[in-house]
Amino acid sequence: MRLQMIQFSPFKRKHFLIILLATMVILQSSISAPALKTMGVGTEAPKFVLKNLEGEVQDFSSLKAEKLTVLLFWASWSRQSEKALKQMEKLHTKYKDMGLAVIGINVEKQTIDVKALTAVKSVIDRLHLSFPIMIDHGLVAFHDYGVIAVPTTVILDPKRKIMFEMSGFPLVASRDMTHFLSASIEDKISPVDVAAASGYQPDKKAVRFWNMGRKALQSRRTLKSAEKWFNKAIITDPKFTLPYISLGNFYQEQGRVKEARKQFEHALVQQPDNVKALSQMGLLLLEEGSMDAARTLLEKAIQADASYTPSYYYLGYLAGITGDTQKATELFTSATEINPLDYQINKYQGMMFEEQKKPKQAAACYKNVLQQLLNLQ
Amino acid sequence: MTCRARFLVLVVPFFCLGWLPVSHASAKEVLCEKNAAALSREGKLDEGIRVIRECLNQDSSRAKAHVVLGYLLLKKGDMKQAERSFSKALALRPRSSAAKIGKGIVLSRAGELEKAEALLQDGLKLNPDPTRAHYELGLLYEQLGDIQRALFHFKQGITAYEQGEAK
Repeated sequence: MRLQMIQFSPFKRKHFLIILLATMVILQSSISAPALKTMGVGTEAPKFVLKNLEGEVQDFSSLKAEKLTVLLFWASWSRQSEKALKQMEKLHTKYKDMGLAVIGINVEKQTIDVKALTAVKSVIDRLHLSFPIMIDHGLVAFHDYGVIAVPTTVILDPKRKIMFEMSGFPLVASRDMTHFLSASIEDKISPVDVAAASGYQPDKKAVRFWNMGRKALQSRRTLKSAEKWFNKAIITDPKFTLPYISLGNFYQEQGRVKEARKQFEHALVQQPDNVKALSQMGLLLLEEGSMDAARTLLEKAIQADASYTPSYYYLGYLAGITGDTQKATELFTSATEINPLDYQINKYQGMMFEEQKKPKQAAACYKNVLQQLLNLQ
Repeated sequence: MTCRARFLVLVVPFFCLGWLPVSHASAKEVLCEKNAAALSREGKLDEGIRVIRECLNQDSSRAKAHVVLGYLLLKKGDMKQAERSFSKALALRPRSSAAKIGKGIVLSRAGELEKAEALLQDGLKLNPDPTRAHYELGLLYEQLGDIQRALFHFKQGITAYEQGEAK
């Protein structure tokens, strides 16, 4: 009887399938892609204090708008940045008087010299950018936000809650972002719809517990309590994936492999395409020596989000130590194109050369890492 | 008034009055050093050097200020002046790891590898944040053709940095 009730005529079935497919496409494309290493939609973004080109110090509260504030991390060496800046200029012109602020955060390099500053200014002049451009000296905001790719767009509400995040400048996601911004600013959708359009919104209490855990990780003294906070966040909102990943990373760093694996599995049950969970699980399997399984997961991670650099260098390392040097080189090159500021790329390449018994090349890579970290480039 | 209370009333203000001007002066100098370093990070190296030199004109007894100047001069490529600054810092504070490492870097760049190695190793022993020392030792051993030792120090440098980040 029940079966009979859901039997459709061929015409109705066709329509049903079209509607279902369209709904799936909309849902898939409208979920904002993870752009930050440890944060996500619904979580509180860190404060920042930056200088503009004139050397004036400004922070989020002095630059934010009434409704939404867009942070665009960009650099003159990134081709995609220019597209993102152009799009932001259009949105800024249209909505600046309706409650939208755009802040361009330049992440050119660790130390901005005269040459870099000239490059930044020439982009601003050429694109006639009218929104404020701040310079991230020492890449402090870049690291605080855990930016993975350049450009990266983060949309915040006035309380610094992340409403949308996007790494790179993918066509579909950037279109979704524009829709999201327009709809929110023009009040065409209710806050509930906004939340739905920007992906899953976790429970506030769970986010608070998760943030406590992240804070605890920053100090060796409080490190152990992180586990407790992440577990509390999971209990409060079992659908919130970030605490599983944070807890998984915590266990992985402590060498508690089985527990780490369990957490990544939980995260993948909630979100099978979660790029962070896929990558970390891939790394875990790689470290265990399960190369085929690791490869499958890391390839899936790259498919899920082509701008998440860790998947590239983990897979690059795997390819290199299993004899596919050409693929390894391609993957490391891709990662560098996406985010040349991520020192882990050189570190994993160095580790690969060490495994390949090429100490000279390994030393050169590690040297590059230290030059990046010590700001000597 | 109890004996303990009388002691506190007499002794605490005495210490506070003695401590305040000293802490005020050192806060000013620390700020000065921080400003100079920040200017350098912003690409304004010459301005940073000018700022720290002004600080030293007012008080040349702070080893840390000489060290900051030394590193800024090193960044500028003025090896002679940099060495002079590190030597002054070492005269004021012979166990300054940053000054030892700084002087080691200058000597290493000048090709005096043996002396540089000794200073860098010394600095490494004293340094609570030895990333730079490991990096310089890595470079030094690379120059000497000892790749295994270079590799060891580069890796140690990365580990030290990552552990420092987790503090």
